[in-house]
Amino acid sequence: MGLLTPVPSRQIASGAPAQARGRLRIDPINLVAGIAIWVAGIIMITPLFWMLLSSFKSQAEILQLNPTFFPLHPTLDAYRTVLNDPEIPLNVLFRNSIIVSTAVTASVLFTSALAGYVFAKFRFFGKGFLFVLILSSLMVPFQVVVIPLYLIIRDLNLFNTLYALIVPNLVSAFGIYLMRQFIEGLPNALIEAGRIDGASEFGIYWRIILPQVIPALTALGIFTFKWMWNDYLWPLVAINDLAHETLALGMSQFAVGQHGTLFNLTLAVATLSALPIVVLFLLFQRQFVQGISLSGLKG
Amino acid sequence: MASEGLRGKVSWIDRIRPDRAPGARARALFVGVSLTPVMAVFIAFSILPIFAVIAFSFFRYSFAFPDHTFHGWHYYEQLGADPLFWNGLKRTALFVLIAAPLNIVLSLPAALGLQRVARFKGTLRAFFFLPTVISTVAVSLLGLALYDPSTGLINQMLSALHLPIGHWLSDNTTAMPALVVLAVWQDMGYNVIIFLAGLQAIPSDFYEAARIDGARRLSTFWHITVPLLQRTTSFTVILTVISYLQVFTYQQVMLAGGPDDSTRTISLYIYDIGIGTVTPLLSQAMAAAVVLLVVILAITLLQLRLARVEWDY
Repeated sequence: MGLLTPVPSRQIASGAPAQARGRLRIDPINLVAGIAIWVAGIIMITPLFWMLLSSFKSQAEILQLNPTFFPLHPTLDAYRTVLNDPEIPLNVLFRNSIIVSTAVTASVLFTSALAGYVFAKFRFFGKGFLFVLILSSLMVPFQVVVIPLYLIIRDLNLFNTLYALIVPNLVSAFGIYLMRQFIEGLPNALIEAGRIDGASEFGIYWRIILPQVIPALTALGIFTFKWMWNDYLWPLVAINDLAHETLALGMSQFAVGQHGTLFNLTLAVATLSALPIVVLFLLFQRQFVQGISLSGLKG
Repeated sequence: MASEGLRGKVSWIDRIRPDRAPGARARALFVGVSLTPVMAVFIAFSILPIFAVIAFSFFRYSFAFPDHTFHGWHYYEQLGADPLFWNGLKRTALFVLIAAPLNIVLSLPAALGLQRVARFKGTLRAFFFLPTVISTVAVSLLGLALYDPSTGLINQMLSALHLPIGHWLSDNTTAMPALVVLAVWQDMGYNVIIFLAGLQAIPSDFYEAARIDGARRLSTFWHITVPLLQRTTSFTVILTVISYLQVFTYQQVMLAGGPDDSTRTISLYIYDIGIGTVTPLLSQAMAAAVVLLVVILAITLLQLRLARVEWDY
């Protein structure tokens, strides 16, 4: 909150082009704002840094009266313990999360681009109505439909299977909307050229449209994977035995019972679960950021 | 010809008279074959539940009584008579009213600051954004550790600064604010990125002109940045409020709605009475879900109306 006044003024002070010249003069407001944003950034990252460091501490160090920030004797004990926990089989949870997230991401990419292409470039009966349905479903939060969805999954005998986590997520309204926005901007001449060359309709989608929308698909793919990897409420509702739980669901059990107070263990699990997503984010940081700005501003 | 084919209608007429436009039949077939399965899954799992939740809230839906008799407003009356439902609404409102403004008030200056960072901008942006990529469950586990009265980082920091320490999560007056701080820490990165994109979309001519006119920094901020950012801001506010109205995971994983139901939000209430119990009150839970839907739609429409912007650049 304290940042509110200095930072804005600084932003105008020397609009983007004047930035290089302004560097010579030391502007007190610029200096304060520059320090403030770095302090804020360091405050933002500290809890995660602390999480990582604490996961390398021993039980004794976690529980000692004078707590440390950096581990005195870094150890992998916590990781060894949680990976061999007989009650919560992390390898099974990891495997389930990978299966569900990968299957859903692959399907969402394929179906979103396909339906997005059809909505963007074809005219057909009922198009407006179907698209309004897609947009309105985006306004309905998941909490509202979770119970009927649970009843549907029970009726389909999918309850407590990985299919319960995959099937309802095969198609994403958000994905269709996003891809339609993208594909609408592609020139029709591309498609016409394909038709003249005698490509089949599916061939046009697969060989002409898809390569054009790789950046959008990358962003959608990363987001979908992240959503599925991190999803908690739906697995909590649809799954009730450990063999079918995902990592996000299964690891919530570390919050209770004897694990709850041994933070080196809970933080090791949290770190393990975050690792794949953080790596994905660091690899695709640009697409992540673009994806948010695009979907954000197009809404 | 090809152009006519592309823009031309793929309608029932084309199916009956495939000679009307070359390739029309192939296009109609493509639309039908590709869209039907996609729409079938979408309607079955995204649209059907919306109608179902509204319809079932007026019927007795219970595993014990499979008769589904019509009960009118009965479940809404039961809901109104349940103090835990009102508690849920109140706790959700409390969370939204603190968390949403806090998020905006922190993320806009952060975006303004980030925009002007010259070196290590990507690294600094990642510092803001990394918490958003981690699951709320992992952050809940982290939150339990951070707020631990004796070994947590928060109290360590506070006592190092000679500030009062507390039992943040076990006190029913501080538990919800503690979760607000955790939630805002975790997801303000989204808004920072959105604001950053909004700021970058403002043409630099405006700032240039203001500078030539000798406008002061603060007045440039109030008269250029703030009004031109209005669209981004209203969009951000709507998304933030809607997502906070659904808040669930921190409360459920960390505190199971406690202490003294002080963190039992409406989403948690719906889950608790509908699913997380041996005697589920399905219809009543669905009635509560309909109330949540109405609240969210009303707030969305209200905000869209208030935030209507007539200009473009």
